[in-house]
Amino acid sequence: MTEAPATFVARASAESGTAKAAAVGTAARHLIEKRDAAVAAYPAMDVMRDRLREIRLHTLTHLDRYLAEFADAVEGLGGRVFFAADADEATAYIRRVAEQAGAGVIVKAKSMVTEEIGLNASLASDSRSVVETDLGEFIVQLAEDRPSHIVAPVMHLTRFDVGRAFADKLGVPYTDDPTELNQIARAHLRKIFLGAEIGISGVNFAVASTGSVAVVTNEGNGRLATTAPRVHIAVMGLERIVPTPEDLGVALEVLARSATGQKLTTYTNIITGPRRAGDPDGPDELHVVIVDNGRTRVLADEVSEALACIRCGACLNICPVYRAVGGHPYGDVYPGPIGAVLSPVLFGLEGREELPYACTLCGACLEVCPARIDLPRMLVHLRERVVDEGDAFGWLKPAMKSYEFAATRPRVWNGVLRGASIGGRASRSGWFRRIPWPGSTWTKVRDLQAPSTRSFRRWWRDRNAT
Amino acid sequence: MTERPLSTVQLFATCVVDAMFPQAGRAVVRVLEECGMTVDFPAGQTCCGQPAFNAGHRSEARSMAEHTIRILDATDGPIVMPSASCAAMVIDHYPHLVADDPELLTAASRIASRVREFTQFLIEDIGVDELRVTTDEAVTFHPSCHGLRHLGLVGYGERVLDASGSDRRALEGAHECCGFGGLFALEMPTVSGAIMDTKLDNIEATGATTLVGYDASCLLHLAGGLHRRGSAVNVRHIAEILSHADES
Amino acid sequence: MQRDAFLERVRSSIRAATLPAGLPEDPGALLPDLPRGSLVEEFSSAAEAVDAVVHVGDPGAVIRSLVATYGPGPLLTWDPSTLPVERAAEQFAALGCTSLPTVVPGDPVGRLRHQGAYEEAQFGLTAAEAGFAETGSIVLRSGPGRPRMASLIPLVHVALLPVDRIFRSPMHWLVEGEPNLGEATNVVYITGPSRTADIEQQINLGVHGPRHVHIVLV
Repeated sequence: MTEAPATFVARASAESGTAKAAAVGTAARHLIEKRDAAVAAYPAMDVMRDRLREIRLHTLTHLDRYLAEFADAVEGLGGRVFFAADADEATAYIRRVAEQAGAGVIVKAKSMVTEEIGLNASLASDSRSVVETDLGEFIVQLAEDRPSHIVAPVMHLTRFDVGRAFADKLGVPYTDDPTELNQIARAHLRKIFLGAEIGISGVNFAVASTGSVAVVTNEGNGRLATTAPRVHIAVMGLERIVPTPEDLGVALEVLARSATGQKLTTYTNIITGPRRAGDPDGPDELHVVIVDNGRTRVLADEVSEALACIRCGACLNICPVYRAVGGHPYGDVYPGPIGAVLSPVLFGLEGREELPYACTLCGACLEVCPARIDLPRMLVHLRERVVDEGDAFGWLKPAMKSYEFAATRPRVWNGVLRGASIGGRASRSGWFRRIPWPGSTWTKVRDLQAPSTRSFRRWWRDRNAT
Repeated sequence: MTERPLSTVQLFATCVVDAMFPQAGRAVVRVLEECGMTVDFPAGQTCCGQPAFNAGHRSEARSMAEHTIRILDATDGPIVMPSASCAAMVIDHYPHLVADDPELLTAASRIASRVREFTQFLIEDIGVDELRVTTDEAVTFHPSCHGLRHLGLVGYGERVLDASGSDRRALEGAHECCGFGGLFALEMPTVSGAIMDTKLDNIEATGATTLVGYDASCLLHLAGGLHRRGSAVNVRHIAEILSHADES
Repeated sequence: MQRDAFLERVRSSIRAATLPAGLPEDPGALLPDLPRGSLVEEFSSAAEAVDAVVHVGDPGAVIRSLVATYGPGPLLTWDPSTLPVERAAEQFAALGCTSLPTVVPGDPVGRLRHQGAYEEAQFGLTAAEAGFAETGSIVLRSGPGRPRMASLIPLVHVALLPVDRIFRSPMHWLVEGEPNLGEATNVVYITGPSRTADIEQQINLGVHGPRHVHIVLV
């Protein structure tokens, strides 16, 4: 289950200015610098982005066909495909597989969709131990924290935080040297990988024509978790699919460049079916769980193209709001601009009315999105929906009505300007440091200069009168 | 640059300039007149409606769009705006807002093709070779998100300032949002302030004593932040520090 | 949910969706325009940029120097018949690197015991069926005699890459190289040693996969 709905404003105010938020902002900035360098060195980027967009939107238009083709291919190779309408169905299936496998230890490679469906908690309820193996997620799990970024989950922690968590939870001598911390994690997790019964991964892209799933990582945990255990469960949102290997190729051209500025991540792991006759190793069983959990709602909505997202994280990294407050204020699982669009539609607008407003409409996200998803347009659309259903901020509706009244009646408008000029004289210095609500929302963080004693139109009128 | 026989331009002052920065409007008129234009101010203009639109109040935005379209469609010639975000509103969103009414839609498209942000008008229509700055202060330029990403005015302000001989200091993170975002500034003030602080830190780091921009909304917000922190940096709309060479 | 009901729900959502019309169906592959230089040189420099080491010259000498550098230890190797230099596995053995059995038993207990021994694997020896000059990557394909673990679990991965199998880029391989992705259980592009930047964005190598990747051009 997703957790309690986000109250973005309250959480954002709490996170803003903290060291954690600053760490996220710095890391995000750094990733964009690397992204920009990679794009500058790759003249084909724009062409590839255009093609990616076409591929993704075409796939969504025929999604049922491609999902059927994919499922047939997987099953033809002896894999199992489970179609999960919602989180409960998905976790119930996975728990059954774990039961049948007699699973002791389960290793996991990072997957947003498994967090979305609350997989770890549901497996824990069966007393099954799930170990997150992506180093960042492993740290999050140890420190009992929450990830703050799609691609870099512990952007918000320092080496000292990590050192403390390792010392406390793993019983190793304290160190905060990143190299040593990595080696500790490697040794600790190696044993666990090699002794695990089940490996669970996400899917970066499924390939319909071959029945392949591609899992992309830098660390190797995505490979180990999907090679060492006897059973591999791959969990995917129903939209994470492309038609052919060449389409996969296009997606791979832009994914790592957009996410971290790498041409490719260390491992691009393409898995097609369970172990075949003659294969020396690899999982004997492959289960692919295809999850809806509200995605068909997104598809049927006006924000359909949000499903073209390839989860690169670039929109987060460039977003001024995300940089200022980090991922936690967005609540749920998906932060940043893509989260502000997906969460209200996937999980419901109620309690999330502020999310579409968590944005200055600067447009930077659209500028970097590899699939050119028009996030700003979708955010304005969601705001319209919030307005239709209520008022996210209590005072906006009557204010807008008054504003409309004045702005469509020039005489009234002139009167308002005159009033503002008079009001401006209340300040001797020409500035207001504090004004009553709702103006106090302005003066909370900045001064307000006094409206001019003579508006522009007044000056124009006087000039023409002479 | 271009030698087109331009004569009369319509000024859409924008509500922020009208009420809060009339000196920017006056400066735009002055510069245009110095460059040989006749400036007209269509009576009855109020506000482009962007704050309503951005807040999701589509029907209120539509009313204001309709009002503005009718006022402007009764005029001819380029429509110059001293604020990039208002120009973007008219160009990007007016046609969609009134798409249900064929007559209004045609008028909206007509108007959209006439709209120019001020620096855009200088660069694309008048030419900047004969402009000079009227200050010898070190300046730095903040382009607005709407100007950059909606109107495509990448480098425009900088070009005008450089061509006019200003002492311009490059702004780190120039393309990053100032944190205003319309109602965002009021609805999420803490976050708006945090984004603003990053921008102001970058501005102060340039060593410039004057901040120049072409979007009055950004300037209102940044000026408020600079004043709050007791900064000595002045804030000017770009028109305020320009003059035609013949006038000096 | 049953597949048919699930797909019917997808279908009805598509009918209501806001998607542009006229999207091309299978528009064909897209090859990035890349500078044409020496594939081997470009490959070597790209591989080194991601911290892999590229060797040209006598594979035997390379193997000797690697064993001298890292010390002898257990070896996980592909079957000699799958290697472009068949004697390479023997050469490791002659230097004191005992081969670990590579065929994992089907029963769960046997599997755990078998793979438990992998923890100590020092070297992994494989072929590579292709390389990408643009990224410095190598491509490995699983199959009979070609265990996936050999390039994954040991500290040092040694890959023998035929020089005439270097393609300009990943897209070039997909289009021109007969990738036949669906015909093997696992195809992997390996681009340098395993790495993470999770702790304070500082790059660290050898987190879960091999710490050292040595590519021998043959």
